[in-house]
Amino acid sequence: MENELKQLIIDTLDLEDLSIADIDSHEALFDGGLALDSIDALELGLAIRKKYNVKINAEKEDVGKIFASVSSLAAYISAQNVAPHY
Amino acid sequence: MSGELIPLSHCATAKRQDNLPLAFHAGHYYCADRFYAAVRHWVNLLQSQPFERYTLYTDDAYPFAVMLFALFHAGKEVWIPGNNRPGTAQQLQQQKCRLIGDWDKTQAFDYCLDSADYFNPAFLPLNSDTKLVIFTSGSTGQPKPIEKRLIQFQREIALLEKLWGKQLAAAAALSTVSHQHIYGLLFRVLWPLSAERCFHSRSYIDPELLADAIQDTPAYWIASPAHLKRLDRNSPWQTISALNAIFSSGGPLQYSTAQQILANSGQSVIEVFGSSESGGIAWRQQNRKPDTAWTLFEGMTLSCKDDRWHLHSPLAGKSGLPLDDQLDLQHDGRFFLQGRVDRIVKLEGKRVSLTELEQRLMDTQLIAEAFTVMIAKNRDEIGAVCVLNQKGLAQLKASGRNQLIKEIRIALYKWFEAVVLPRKWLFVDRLPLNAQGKIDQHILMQLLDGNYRKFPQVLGFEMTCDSIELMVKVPHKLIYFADHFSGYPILPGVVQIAWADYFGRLFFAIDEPFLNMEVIKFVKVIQPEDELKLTLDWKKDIGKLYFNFSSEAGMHSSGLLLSR
Repeated sequence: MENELKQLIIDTLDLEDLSIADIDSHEALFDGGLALDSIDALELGLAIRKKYNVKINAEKEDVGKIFASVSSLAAYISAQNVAPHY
Repeated sequence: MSGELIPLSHCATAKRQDNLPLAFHAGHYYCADRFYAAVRHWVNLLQSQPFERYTLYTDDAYPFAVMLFALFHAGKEVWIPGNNRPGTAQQLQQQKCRLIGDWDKTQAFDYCLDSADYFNPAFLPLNSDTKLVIFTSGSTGQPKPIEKRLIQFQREIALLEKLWGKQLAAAAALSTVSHQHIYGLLFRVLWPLSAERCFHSRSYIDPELLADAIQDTPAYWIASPAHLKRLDRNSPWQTISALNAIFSSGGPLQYSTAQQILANSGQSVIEVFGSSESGGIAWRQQNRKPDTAWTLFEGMTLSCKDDRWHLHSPLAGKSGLPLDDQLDLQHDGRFFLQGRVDRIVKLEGKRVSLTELEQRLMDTQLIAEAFTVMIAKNRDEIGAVCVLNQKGLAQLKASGRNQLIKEIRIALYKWFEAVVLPRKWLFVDRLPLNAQGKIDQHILMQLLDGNYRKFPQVLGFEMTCDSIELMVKVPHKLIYFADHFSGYPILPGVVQIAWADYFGRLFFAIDEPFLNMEVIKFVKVIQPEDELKLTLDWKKDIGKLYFNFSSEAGMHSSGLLLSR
């Protein structure tokens, strides 16, 4: 799941200069080494909605915590308990 | 909304209409009495502090309004930075600014929004000469402070209200742009406060969340091209069509985007053109025709002196303000925009100075020479072309390209927001020049903005006048791998020849067609994610292009393309 998400991040955001091995599951996506931005968050949110059929509601949930790292994102999606949607 | 504007100088003291919410923040509506109480609480606190100059950054717009007016009433000087990056904080502190608001990520700032300071005596209205300082990236590369007075904002609000006040009626302001820049500051905080319209405190990054927040209440949207161009058929069009208005600023909206919004929602986006220095300059609504001209706001005129356009505006601090844009002025007084005169670019609505970016790249001590360029596409990106110095080259060898890029990005992140950090990188031994001796932007754009479904990703190159070595990586998403072969993808030989042809033409300006091939050899297969060196030698006098693909594993293929 985590590697799948890393690949999704690389493909969605066209980050050719990263490979799965370069992303640490626990590193901060937005403030740390990856330094993603709010537009990335938007595009990533859309990609996750499309692939996992999971909608992240910023009104009700702490988006910062969900998007904190690959591992927190994976945990959130798993908790929604839905199968990938192709 | 009563039709009368409250002067900004009276925004924290005026009697407002009962029961009208002033803002929506963190799930609650805040009315005037709570706003005034919070302002008073902070005025008391701030007045007991010895500092004179504060720099205010908040994530949400309502606490921003509370703190802004509290600082004003406490007689403090207010500086409003565009971001809260540590480098920005450090620079402002050096200018004797006291940080206030959301600067420390590890600790939430308590805005005391529910303080019950109702019994303190009300204070006097502000002087309309009260000033604040905002920042813009100047042409020198350093963020430039610009002083604005309340009266300037007041005049602009009067212009806006006259044009669109009726249309907005009692709708609430929702925004996808930050209030830390002049457009958001004016449109989502100051104008609503003055016109007694409710404003939403948080920024809605995703239009769907904005739609959820609106529900069935009247609303208008303060947007930017960056967000509008991402609307698609799944966007909440029903809600969008019910909006009282959509405003867009921060760069021109593409005609196709304007058309899509018009077709799906019937909304004709109101675009506002302006700058931090000048305030609003002009507006337009693109309807049926591409490239609609801009209409100046009331009371403004343009003149051209020494090839530079100057604005004469009642909103600007001085008359004859030089503009950074090239204009084409029509007989009817309207005009077309024709690009910037300096090296400031707008990237997803964020202004960035390429000069400053290049300087900061060189400040990393890893790069001897840097060139940056904006790649405008669905997602605008910055491409960086770097000549590494000894230390940089050593690091590239020791830790690899991806780690090096990561390290440089982290260094830049101290100074810039993530949006403007370079996404495309080329490491070269020298910057390629064109016939005029200027940096050859055409070649660099082609290499940085590659189509990785058909071409390799170029990682860097080294060149002499008739020979070039390109470091390339074979993308896994190339269309050629799909059926060549299923389960065992290898790069077809004909594609290798096509790549040699493509890069040969790009670098050596070859315009004659190749008629023949000689000594073509395919020695070793090329697979997805392989990193290769492509060597090209062009013998112009005899019309021969020699190519050779090699890697650490040895030679993969080579041959000669002949143009005669």
